[in-house]
Amino acid sequence: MTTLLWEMIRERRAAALITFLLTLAAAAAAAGGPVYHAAAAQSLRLDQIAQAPVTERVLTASQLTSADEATEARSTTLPYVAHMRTVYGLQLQGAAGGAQATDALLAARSGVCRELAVTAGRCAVADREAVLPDGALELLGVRLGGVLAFSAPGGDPVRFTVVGTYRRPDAADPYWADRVSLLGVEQPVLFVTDRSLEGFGGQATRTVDLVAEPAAFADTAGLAGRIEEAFKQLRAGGYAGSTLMPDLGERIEQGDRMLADTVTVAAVPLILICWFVLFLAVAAGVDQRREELGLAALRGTPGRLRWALPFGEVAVPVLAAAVPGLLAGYAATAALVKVVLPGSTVQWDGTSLRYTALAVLGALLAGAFAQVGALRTPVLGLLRRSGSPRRGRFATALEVAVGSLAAVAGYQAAAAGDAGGIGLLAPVCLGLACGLLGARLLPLVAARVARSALRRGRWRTGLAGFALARVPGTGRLVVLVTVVFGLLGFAVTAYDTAGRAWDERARVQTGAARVAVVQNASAVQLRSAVDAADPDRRFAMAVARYKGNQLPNIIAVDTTRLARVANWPDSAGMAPGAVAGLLRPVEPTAIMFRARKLVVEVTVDSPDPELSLQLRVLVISDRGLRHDLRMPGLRPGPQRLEADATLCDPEPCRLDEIQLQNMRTDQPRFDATIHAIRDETGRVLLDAAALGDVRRWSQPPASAARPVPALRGTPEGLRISVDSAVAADMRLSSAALPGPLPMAVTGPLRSPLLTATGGMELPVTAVATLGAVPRFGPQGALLDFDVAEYVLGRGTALTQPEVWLSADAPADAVDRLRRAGLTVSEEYTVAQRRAQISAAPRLGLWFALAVAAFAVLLAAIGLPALAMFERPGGDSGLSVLGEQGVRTRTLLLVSAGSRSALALAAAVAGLGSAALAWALARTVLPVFSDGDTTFTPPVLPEPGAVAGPVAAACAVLLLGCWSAAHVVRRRREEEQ
Amino acid sequence: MTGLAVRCRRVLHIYRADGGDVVALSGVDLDIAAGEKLALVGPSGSGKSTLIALLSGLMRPSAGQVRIGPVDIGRVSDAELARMRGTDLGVVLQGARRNLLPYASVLSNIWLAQRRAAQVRPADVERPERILSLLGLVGMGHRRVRDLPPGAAQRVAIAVGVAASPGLLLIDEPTSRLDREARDEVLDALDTINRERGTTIVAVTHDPDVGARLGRAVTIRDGRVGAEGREGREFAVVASDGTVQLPPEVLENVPPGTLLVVEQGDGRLSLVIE
Repeated sequence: MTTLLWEMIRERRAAALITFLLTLAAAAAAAGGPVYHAAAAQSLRLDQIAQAPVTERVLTASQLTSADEATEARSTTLPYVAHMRTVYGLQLQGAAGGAQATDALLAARSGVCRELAVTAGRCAVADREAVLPDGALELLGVRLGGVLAFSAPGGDPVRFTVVGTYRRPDAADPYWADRVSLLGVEQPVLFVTDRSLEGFGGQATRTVDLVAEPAAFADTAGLAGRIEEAFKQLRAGGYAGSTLMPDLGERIEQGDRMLADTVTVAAVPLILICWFVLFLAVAAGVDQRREELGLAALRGTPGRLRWALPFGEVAVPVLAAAVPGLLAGYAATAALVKVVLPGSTVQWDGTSLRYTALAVLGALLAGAFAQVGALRTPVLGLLRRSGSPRRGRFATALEVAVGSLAAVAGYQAAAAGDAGGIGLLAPVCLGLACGLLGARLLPLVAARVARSALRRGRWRTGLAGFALARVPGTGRLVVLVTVVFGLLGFAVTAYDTAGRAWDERARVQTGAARVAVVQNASAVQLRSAVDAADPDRRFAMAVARYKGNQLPNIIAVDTTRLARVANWPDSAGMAPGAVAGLLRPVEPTAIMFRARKLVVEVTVDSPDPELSLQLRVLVISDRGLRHDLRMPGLRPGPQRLEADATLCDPEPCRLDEIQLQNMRTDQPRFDATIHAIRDETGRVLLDAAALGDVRRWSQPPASAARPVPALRGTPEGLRISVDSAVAADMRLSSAALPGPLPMAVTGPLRSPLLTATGGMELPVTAVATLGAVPRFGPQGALLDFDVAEYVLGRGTALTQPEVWLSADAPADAVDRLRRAGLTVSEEYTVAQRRAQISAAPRLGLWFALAVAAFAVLLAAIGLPALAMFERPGGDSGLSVLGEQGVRTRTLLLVSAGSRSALALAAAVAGLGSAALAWALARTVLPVFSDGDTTFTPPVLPEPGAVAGPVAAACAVLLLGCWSAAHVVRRRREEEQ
Repeated sequence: MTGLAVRCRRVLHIYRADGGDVVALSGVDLDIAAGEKLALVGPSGSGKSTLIALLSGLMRPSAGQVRIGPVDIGRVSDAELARMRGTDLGVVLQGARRNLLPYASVLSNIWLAQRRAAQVRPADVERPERILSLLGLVGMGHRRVRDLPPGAAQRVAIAVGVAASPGLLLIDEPTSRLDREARDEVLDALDTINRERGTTIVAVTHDPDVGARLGRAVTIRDGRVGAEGREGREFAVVASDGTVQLPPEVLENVPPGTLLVVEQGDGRLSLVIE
């Protein structure tokens, strides 16, 4: 048998080679999918880890030592977690320097000398040695090699030798575990050895930080358990800790799932296509040697041998391709990974082996399946080359099954709205269904066209049409090309729409071309720094975030620069200038004054002689900080109250709020009239008329439980009348704008109130409804920065302060901001944001595109390969015409034309199936790494983006048709 | 295995076709003794090949009985037919290369043809070399079929047909497209097989010399047994329904509708035109 099998393979070595190559492709795809997935997942993981905030990469824990406890000894056991670095530290707050001591932090941290960038001298390695940050030598009045005294509160000074200076650490370095105190932003940090520090008495802070390496996130499933174990150990040691590592782990897992889905969507069809092409090749080969099979049947060859011999002829090249396919898949994927995922490592794992085995098994089954028909055909049928009578029924059953599968997959993908289950295979299932439909229709249409062409005397077209209608195997080719073009259309459309979605979301969510994230800044500081860095208002804009009860995404922007700096969303629906005008209808006003002392003239009238009030004046200094000037002891009758206001001179302060406070528990009725506010020289800062203008003041909304006093402007000043038995809210805030706070929203304003600093609820009004706002897209709201500060922020530290920079901002814009006093902790661009949100889907879509291109190539190569099995002329009758004198060239043209028509018709059907799949199942491919559904990707692709690849694929396919026609012609000539 | 007798009784075969049914055999009665050599002759379309196909079990008769040895092959299962083709029946199709795997060696072809017999009755399976020797193909075992000259290829086809030591060898046009020398080689080979094994041989041929050489030639005409020649003499054959076909040359003088008087006496049967 072996001899005969070898003779069969040798005789049909071209077929064996094709089988070998197709199996190789299937095995390579099966092996490459998991390898690519693993490499892409690794790249994605590293990317996500690199982009994650430090808080998500560390576990921090700390405990205060008791005051009398010398920091003599560290915890006996520190937690150890695989792939996490345990950093032990000790910090002691105190003062450094001589006569004019400055607040400073004395810190020891394990491994600090490896992390510090020493700019002069060396690191502290011995007892009583210290290194200082750059610039601290001057500040502390010490020189390198000199001695610096450090004293803890209540302790004696300890002298340290300054042995070096270091560059301020990078906040993004996870080693510092996001411990701001160690970064030296507020005060210099003296790094010493832990032995030096343990010698101190006083209350110190002991810290344990677990700094995760990227490998720690390789097994996200076990991450939570490992973290919990560490927490247990820390809690047992008296530490309180926290971490956001599980959040990052969850994101990584989510990204990995997305990637897996996308790779599945791409790889499974490729394997199916390889199987299908293999099936076609084997079926064509079986058809070619039906007489041979008939001969074996004629000799009464036992059934097992009748199966084994032709199956062996397929199985040998299939099995021979398994290992090379595995290696080729690995090598090709490694090369691809090297190009598209630089830095990723490619590793073997059992998955590749399992998938390759599955692909090879599928190839064997496809080969076996292709022979079923022939082996069930009666002997005479085989000898006469007529088909199996049961084939039609089987084909119909298969078509019904595929149609049902496509319907189920399409429904699941459309109904479920996301990837998962059989929905993932919806594109390929729909392609198959459309292909089978096309295979049914094409011969009918071709015959009709042919008859019509013949009637009109266009006999070449007629012949081509009849050839198309009559050649057996046409249907299978239609299915193949339809599926391939279905996949191509789907992948190209997905890539185009996803790319545009990434662009738009990155543009909108970044807000501007570049964003500088600022730490700990007030609105005044931020505004003044931006003004200093960009006095011409060309490229920088101050931004902060606010939150409302039912409106969590409010972004406050400097509307005077909005149009110039921000990335205005295309879908906003209004021009940025118009929106700016609505958000800042008039210049916000503020009561500014300069004084060393505030003197308030006030008269209280009350029937209760025991009434005792306190007057509070809240002012905001030039640093943007809120200060409370309290003037107690206000009793019935005229009075002059005074408060120290040195912080308001020489830089002016802003009067933010005036508040009367009842110092008793009951609530008597009274009238208080504020006549004037003067400075220490008696100069009037606010006279009776100014104070009496009630439009200048805002009050919280009144309620039965919390009434507000009545305000009235009188010639004597501002009269505040409290006439209720319950405690009144007597806060009067300075009104920046007349009327409610203007806001641009993207949806209905659910609550007409926003809570300002101090808990005061203020009315807001929607002045514009936009399709999207910068940063938050279709779910956010927009405020003017200054108005928001005057009305809502009022001197508190800003939430998420940022400076947005336009594309034409100078390269040193961030340096300018730093020089203006801002602490810029991070900066990022639209491109970085795009890379961040697209990481997982992008990797998957690249794979899908590569697979689609490979599938097109496979189909194009498959055409001439299948033609090699075709009987010369097939059943089209063209060869007979050749014998009857029709020129060979004409027959070649007709043959190539019919094949091209088939390919193009099937390509059109494939694009139709892609459109159908896109309409039903586009959600199977995730668009954003974080699974965000706020930003909706465009539904329709750019025609040009799809047309280019499709045209190229058509050209490749036509080349395949032309080659196939030549193969058939050459074989005919050889036969003759 | 010794030769198998063949018996056909009122064998009728109709080809079903969309354009109308075609009667290929319309009542064939034929008896072939075990170990006999017989040629089926007749014009194209007369039904010779259909009869061979029925005898080889490739088709089943529409009516009538075809018995090979003790087996009525119209009634046995497909599996049993397959077994018979692998053991009892040797079939050689017209055109030597249609019977052979052209790329395989002669030995491989014989090996394949012996598989069923080797499974069912291994004792009867002869060594390939012995078969090659029987057919004068010594030394050609390892040659590929496509490299053989036509006469040798035909003998190899016969070798494959008798590889399983069948009791009945059915052979279609054994000498067509062969030169005289090759034809003689083939006919010698058939003689040898018949002589040494007792195999019954039925050959379809257009060549009257082949019929003469085989000893008995049955002429099939219009789907019936029209005549039979034995040892140079031509006989009309009475069918089981009593019909007798007149020789074609007689029919030229006796147009359809002519009335004949049948006279019998002195061991003679005469047809007299009225």
